[in-house]
Amino acid sequence: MRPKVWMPAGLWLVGWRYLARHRWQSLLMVLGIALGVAVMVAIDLANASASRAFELSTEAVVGRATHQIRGGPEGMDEEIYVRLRRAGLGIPLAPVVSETVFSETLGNRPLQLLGVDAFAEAPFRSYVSAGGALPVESLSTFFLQPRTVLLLGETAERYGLGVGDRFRVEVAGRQTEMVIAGLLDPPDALTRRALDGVLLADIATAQEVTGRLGRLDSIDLIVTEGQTAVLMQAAGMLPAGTRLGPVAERSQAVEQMTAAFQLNLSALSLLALVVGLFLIYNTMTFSVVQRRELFGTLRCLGTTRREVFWMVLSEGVTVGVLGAALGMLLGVWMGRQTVGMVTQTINDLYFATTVREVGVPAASLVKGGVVGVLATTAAALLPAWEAASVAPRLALSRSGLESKARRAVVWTALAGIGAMLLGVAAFQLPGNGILTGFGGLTAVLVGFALLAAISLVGLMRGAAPLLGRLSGFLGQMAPRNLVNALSRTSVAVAALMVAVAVTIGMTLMIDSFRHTVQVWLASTLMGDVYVSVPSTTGTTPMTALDPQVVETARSWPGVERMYVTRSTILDGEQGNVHVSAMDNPGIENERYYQALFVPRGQLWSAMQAGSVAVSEPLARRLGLMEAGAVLRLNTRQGWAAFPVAAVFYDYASSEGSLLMSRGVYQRYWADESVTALDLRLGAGVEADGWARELQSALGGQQRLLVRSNQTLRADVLAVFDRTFAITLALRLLATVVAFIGVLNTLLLLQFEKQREVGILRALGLSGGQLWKLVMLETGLMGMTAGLLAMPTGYALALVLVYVINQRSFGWTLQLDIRPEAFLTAFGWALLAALLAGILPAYRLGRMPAAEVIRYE
Amino acid sequence: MTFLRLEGLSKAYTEGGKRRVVLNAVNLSVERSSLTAILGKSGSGKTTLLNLISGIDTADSGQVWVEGLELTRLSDQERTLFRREKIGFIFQFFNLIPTLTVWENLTLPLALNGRMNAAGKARAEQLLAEVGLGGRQATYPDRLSGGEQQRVAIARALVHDPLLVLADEPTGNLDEDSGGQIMELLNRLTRENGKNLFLVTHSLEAAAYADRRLRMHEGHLEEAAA
Repeated sequence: MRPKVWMPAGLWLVGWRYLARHRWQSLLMVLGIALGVAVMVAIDLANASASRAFELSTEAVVGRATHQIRGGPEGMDEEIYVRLRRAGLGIPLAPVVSETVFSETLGNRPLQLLGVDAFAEAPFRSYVSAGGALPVESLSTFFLQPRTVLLLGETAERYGLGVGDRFRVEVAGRQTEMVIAGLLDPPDALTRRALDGVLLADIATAQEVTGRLGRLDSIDLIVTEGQTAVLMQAAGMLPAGTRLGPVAERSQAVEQMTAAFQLNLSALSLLALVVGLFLIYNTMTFSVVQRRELFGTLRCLGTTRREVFWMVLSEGVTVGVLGAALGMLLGVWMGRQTVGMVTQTINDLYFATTVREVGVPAASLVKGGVVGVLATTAAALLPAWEAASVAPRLALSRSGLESKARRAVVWTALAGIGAMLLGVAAFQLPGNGILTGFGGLTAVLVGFALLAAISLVGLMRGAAPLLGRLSGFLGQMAPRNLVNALSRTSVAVAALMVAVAVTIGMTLMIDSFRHTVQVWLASTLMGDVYVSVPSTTGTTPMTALDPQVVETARSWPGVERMYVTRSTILDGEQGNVHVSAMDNPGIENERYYQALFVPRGQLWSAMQAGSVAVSEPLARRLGLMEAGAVLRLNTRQGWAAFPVAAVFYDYASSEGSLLMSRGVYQRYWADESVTALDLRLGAGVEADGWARELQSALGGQQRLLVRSNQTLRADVLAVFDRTFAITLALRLLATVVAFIGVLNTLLLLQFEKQREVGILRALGLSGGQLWKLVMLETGLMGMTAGLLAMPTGYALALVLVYVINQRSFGWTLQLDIRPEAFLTAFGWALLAALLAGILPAYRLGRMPAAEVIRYE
Repeated sequence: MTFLRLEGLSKAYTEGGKRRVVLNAVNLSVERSSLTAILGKSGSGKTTLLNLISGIDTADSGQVWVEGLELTRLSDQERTLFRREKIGFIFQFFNLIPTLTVWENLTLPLALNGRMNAAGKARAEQLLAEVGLGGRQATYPDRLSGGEQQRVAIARALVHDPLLVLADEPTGNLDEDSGGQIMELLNRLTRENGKNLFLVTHSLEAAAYADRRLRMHEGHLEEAAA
């Protein structure tokens, strides 16, 4: 007497027909999951596209190189390459000069100018040596004529360019004219994508246009596994300040740089799916409650518990599969809209990618689909278990179930408090991991969600007498109805509460962040006017200013004082470090310090003696928060130790940066360049007008950004807002899913209440009164969700500000609480609930009372 | 030949903190191919007795033997599978699955038993014709009258050729005429198919079809007058 199959076809039909009969609730479930999956797929696509774009950009530049020799801020002498060549190492070597440039003709986006030696290229970058694809005249032009480049055929075609055409390129703010010597046509799609943003030039041309005559950025090497001795020999021939390392080291560093950003985005993208799961759980529970009699009958007919379980679970899986399929399609579309935002943020904060199109990675789709189906199945497990536990008796009443739900209220609340404590404990775990941070955050959120039932019961008990006085028997009835259907109303309230709480938490976090950045800008930007070369990224400009520009600005009428800064990336023992070398002795008063390891008033003198000040993110990342910390950097004189004299608050980048006296920098790196000017004007000089004048005077020498203090602050805040645009979009989508959840719950409640409403209508309840009843119920649900969302949102803000942000990016933010965030979110909760009540009220109102009463 | 045997069967419920004995050491033997009616007032324990015989519920003490198999020793899973194969159920409120058509409802026991083959289908068609709903295969239950729904339920109770048909107030939700027709049908079909019918009812008209009538009174079964 063993069942032959896990679920007979007849039962599958029962489940499927149920979904088909309840089109609205099935559709809303599918939509909820679809949106959740779509958001996840979209963000994953955008993240993967951004990463792939970086990989492709890197691949285009490094080709098959396994190792690279890199110089300091000024690159390295090309003599090093000559020496290595002459040494007869027996491994392929190729010199490279690369620079990010712009061209209005080519869409004014970042492009990679790659200068190579065509004769050394063959083992490295196949598209260069695959010169066979190029006509002989193109090759001879490329080799013999100065300022010529090779361009991808498709790119040239897109902008209406052809062989022999001239176009202007902006290199380090200076315009120069280039000629297209030939068009590249690589055989594979991947290389074509990688080359979309590349201008390939002869190394001499690249040196000339970048102003780095006789200098190289890197020397590429191909070293096989058994050639460690050769590697050692090459390393031994290198002067101080240069470094030989594997190519992967660099791309890994960049990946690590964006990992926290992408992880945060991915975590946020799961939010809509989590809210969607509440929706599935609620709807499935509803459907089980509605069908208790059916399950009882099936059990009487000999259906086993396991078969009932599989039947209900298969309904969940069906919804999951449909939702995930729709979500994947929607996700690809949303991903295409999102990829621009993510790439923009990565360009603003981290590095410039030159690749435009990377296609749709199948892994993102599969991941989204699988997570969607698994999550839906998980959400359907409990309702399926509940269905399977229905006794094969028909007498078990709904009221019995509800009284069971009410009895569970206290235990649920206690479980909620337990979850919160678990979350807080997770924050205390050693290691400060981002994942444990998010784990704790989820536990806190779930903990608050588990308080929804007790909050609903408490608030409704309190509201009933008041509403009774205000709205008569309907006012008494509405809260009672919600408590009587607690098993479902509490889940809907929890779903809406989670979405609204996240809105509050995110708003408070972003407000706090913005406020902190504003305070930081006010303390950091003390100059009246700033001059720099436009940067490919939104972070610190690193392109050198023309020395003529520096002198012109210094002597421009109205300038009282001028400080100069050289920003660059240096090779540190624990990876690359962003450094700003400056000559401003007032630095101690122009920053907020988290820690000062030298006596007050002596920071500048300590810096002049070789100490450095590090930003909070850098200090956290490299473990430099303690007094006596030392940072080792690769100088032209070899590795040198720089004591940390102070840790300052800084929000310019999550990688962090280091401040150094310019004198010390010049001593160690012999670099005279300047990348930014900080001008202090005399009293009464109007900064904006003055900046415009200087801009037009200097414009002929180099394209520059001359910005008044106010303009620069506004620009920084614009980048800030752009960075959070995607966060706001994700938050909105989660709220939409929560709205769908509430709508679905109300539709289901309406279905259940048909008979009760029919009797009320038969007894004389008017259409208006019916609307009032439904709206009172939905309004009370929205109100409960909104009220509970306030403490939850506040707790989330605390976790986001003090745990997640600090662990992900190393920033300490000052919590800025504004009541508007709470009031707006409460308003949204109420509005969403009331809007969700319209359709059920309309449908109930149109139902003839006689038919409703007759309904079995 | 004894087909069903109950020995010292007892069942009590706790209500409002008080223990209420519904069945008190009930003993019974039922012969094969017979129609037995259990009469009694509402709440007298008739349905509880049916639930214990079908294995839907478990007894506090005592044994239930069906065709030599001690049901009270089986696990929940075993009892479910026994019920699926050996028992046909007819309920007061018909309990057809609203989302399935008449045909799908009727053949559900065949599907559950993995017997949805040509022979099974032929039997289902024959039974549907016998209950007078031959042309209504594609109709959904909400389009049928109460009497018609109960006919489908009777056919469903017999379609998988069970050992025992349990009918719990099969006419309780029908008017007098329909109730009479249903009892006629039930009586004819169970006898024609050589089935054992165990009928729980408070209707003397319905009980009149039975070979043996018993009355449930204060937890005990007593023979009732014809």
